[in-house]
Amino acid sequence: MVKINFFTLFRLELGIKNIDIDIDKKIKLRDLLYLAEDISKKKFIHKLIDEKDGLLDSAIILINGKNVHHLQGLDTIIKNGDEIALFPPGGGG
Amino acid sequence: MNDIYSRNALFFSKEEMRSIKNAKIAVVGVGGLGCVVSEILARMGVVSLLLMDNGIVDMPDLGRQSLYGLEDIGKRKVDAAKDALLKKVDTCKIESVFCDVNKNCPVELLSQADGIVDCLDNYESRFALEECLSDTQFLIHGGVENDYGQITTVIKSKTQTLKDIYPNMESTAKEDFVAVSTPVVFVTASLMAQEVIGNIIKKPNLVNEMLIVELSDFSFSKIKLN
Amino acid sequence: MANELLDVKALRVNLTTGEIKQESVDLELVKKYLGGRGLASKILKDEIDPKIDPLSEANKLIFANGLLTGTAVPTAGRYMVVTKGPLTGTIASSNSGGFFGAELRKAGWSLVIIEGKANKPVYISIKDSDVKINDASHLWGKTTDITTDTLVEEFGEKNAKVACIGPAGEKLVKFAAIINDKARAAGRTGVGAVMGSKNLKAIVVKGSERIDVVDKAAFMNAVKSKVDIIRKNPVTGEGLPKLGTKVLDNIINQSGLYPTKNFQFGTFEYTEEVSGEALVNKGYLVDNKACYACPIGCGRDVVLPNGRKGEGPEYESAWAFGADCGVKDLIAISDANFMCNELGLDTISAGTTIACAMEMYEKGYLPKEDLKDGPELTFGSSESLLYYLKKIAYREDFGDKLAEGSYRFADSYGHPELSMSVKKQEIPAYDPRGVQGHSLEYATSNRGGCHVRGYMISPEVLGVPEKLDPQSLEGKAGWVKIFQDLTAVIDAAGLCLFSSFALGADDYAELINVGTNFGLSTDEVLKIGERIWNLERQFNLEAGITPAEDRLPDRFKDPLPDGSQKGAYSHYEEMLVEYYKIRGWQEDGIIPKEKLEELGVA
Repeated sequence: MVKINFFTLFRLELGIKNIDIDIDKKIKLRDLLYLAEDISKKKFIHKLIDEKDGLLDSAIILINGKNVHHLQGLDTIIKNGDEIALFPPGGGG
Repeated sequence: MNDIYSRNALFFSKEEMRSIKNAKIAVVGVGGLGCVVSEILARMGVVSLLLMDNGIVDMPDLGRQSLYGLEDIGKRKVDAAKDALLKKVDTCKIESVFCDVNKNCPVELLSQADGIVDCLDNYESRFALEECLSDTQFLIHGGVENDYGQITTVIKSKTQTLKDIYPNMESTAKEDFVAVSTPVVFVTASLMAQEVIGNIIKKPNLVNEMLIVELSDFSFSKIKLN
Repeated sequence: MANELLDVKALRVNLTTGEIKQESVDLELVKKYLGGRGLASKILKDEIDPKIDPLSEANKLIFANGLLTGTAVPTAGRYMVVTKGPLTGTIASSNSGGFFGAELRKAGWSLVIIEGKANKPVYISIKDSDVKINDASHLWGKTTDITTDTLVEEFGEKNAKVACIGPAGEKLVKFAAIINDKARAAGRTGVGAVMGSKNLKAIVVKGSERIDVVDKAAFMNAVKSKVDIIRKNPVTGEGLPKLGTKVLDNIINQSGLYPTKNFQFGTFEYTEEVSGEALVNKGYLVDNKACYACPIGCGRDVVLPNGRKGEGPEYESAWAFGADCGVKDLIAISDANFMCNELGLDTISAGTTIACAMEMYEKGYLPKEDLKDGPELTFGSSESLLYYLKKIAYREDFGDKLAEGSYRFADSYGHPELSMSVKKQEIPAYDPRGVQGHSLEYATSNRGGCHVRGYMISPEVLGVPEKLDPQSLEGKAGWVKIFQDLTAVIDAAGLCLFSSFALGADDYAELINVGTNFGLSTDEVLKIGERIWNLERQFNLEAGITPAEDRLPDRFKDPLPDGSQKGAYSHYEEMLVEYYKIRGWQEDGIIPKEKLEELGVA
């Protein structure tokens, strides 16, 4: 099982705090996110990925506490037990 | 039992109160977060405070920056904040430096601090500030937007850096106007102050963890970082 | 960022022609001399004839930042004024803290070389690379506090820093100081008189570029670890912040080394009244004050009951006006210190010159009529102290004679033996009879009587880095050499000597290397100190200061009459032979050619 936690704006838009997704084999982050969109029936991917299939700058995706920029981005392999956090960091002070 | 800190002293141990008193803390950015953080630290007995900012008090600041009032419009924030703090608590020593972290950060003063509080309002400055830190100093990072915010402790020798956590924020330009609600500023800043004290007394909560504060439903979530 | 640590730049200002040039210093020279006292001494020796009259147009005045000045390294706020000194005729370098040096470095300048002489009073303004020579007629005659405030206002930069001379420098008093940040002094050797002789009233500076180093992360880690060491050390973390340098009064008095009444005695019965503790207990001390990048904060912020405010007094200054003049009034002593800052006088030479005059007066060598209408020069008279200080600064009446320093003054009355000086500069607040290493240090100092060229009090009295028997002669010559060489390194690096209570040679080597990637071993760093020492000595020899002047006043051959070291006298002559040998010099104290070549000084 993989847990996706949505925070702040994502949670507000989706109306859910998290989704648990069962995967039987390893899967790329991109595919997992589309899967999550299907399951939740909510559109959120446009807030994470631009038209050219790149990660948007304004969102933070952490896999087990590591930013996916340091991994393989959208191609990062997700396995059972992973925990994913999605949030836009507050920039103000 | 009648001094400023006496009620806190009932809660903290003597050793902890001594550590709090002797700590040198730099509050970088004296806007919404910085005002509340520095006020809490001063009221709790941190004697040595360094304030850094390059801003001037402007009308919109009064909506959420607790140390300023109408009479401060046009003053340097660091000067107004120092004056305001010393009116409340005269036992602390405050050094205020009008400077831009990106350009002329007073590293000679930062290096003397035990801990630094990131109350800045843009990531470019946060990364510049982080560059000036040694491996052992703690940095309490806070950021707010809308009605949410996040906090974590950075100690280079133990945790990820802000640049690790926010690699894609590097290029984001400084936003002039960030939407923000006043309560989230005060709540986040209070929690940041709690984490500063936590680090001083060696009981931090957010080493390798990020706290996400959401006032929309009063939820507080911790994300593991490692 | 354009301001790199290894981009060592010099500003050359010719006051005769008005020409302003910007030069880059060869990195090889930086590797050999670091900066500050080292680099500037090398430049001075290369550029002037050591035989010139120090107050002539041919002399040069160099404001020199240490290599690390202006960085985050703890205590890296020091700069050095290097010139040929009018008091001693030796190479003179006088060190100061505060914020002026760091500001100058942040403006991009490691060195400011002043040449020639302006035909009317001028000041130099520096805003990064924008440098101007400006009219200073309106400032001439003004005290340093007023000069500083006026210039900051005129310059239009609230945080601009000023180094200037007071009336004493203008009047060419032989021990005039240069005062920066109102209360920090490049005090000794009369550098203020050289500035006055050039009609240069002040330098005002504002810099805006922080200094970049090669490996910032490693640099900040080294910096932080040294800050922590300094804060944890009992002397730099507690003694100096709490009591300032006046932490020493009681220690030195109890050690029997507290020179009293022009060094006639080794203890002062009123020490308790004038000590650092008294400054706190009487409520005069308001706060401690730190220089740039300093975690120690030994500066004193003082308000006197008479309303006078200022910084200090330091141990040496308070001793010179106190015990040495027999004065026990802490208010007058503090006031005398403030006056010296305002008038631009060296406190040590000012106090000790008056003490010398007091002894001469009491012994009947000084006729009353020479004092004109002034008060009698008796030990313990705080009235005469304050009166004659002012007379000295303006060279009025009898003050004109005192303005020549104790040696020339006493000599003019036929009693040079009553001047407690080495190479014509007054020795400070430690009686050499009770500390043998320190007495050798006095005798061999390249700028005359001075305690900060190799502070042997540290091991011989305070026990840092280890406790030595103050009366033992064994190994002392070697200790003096190492202390002198290491001090030259600290000066050349732009750090405060007080950091050495907590840091050692390895720490300094680390700080220099981490900022520069020079990769120097500790021995190589000490070699730099030795090079600087020999260069200064060679300058003096070429100036005609012979090794015969490596001597103390005869008084110190007589035993101390009182205190815990009663009966002790100085054995510096016995140690001098060994000292010359350890330094690799000839028996007659001349530096052989091979030594100069070995060090690359020739």
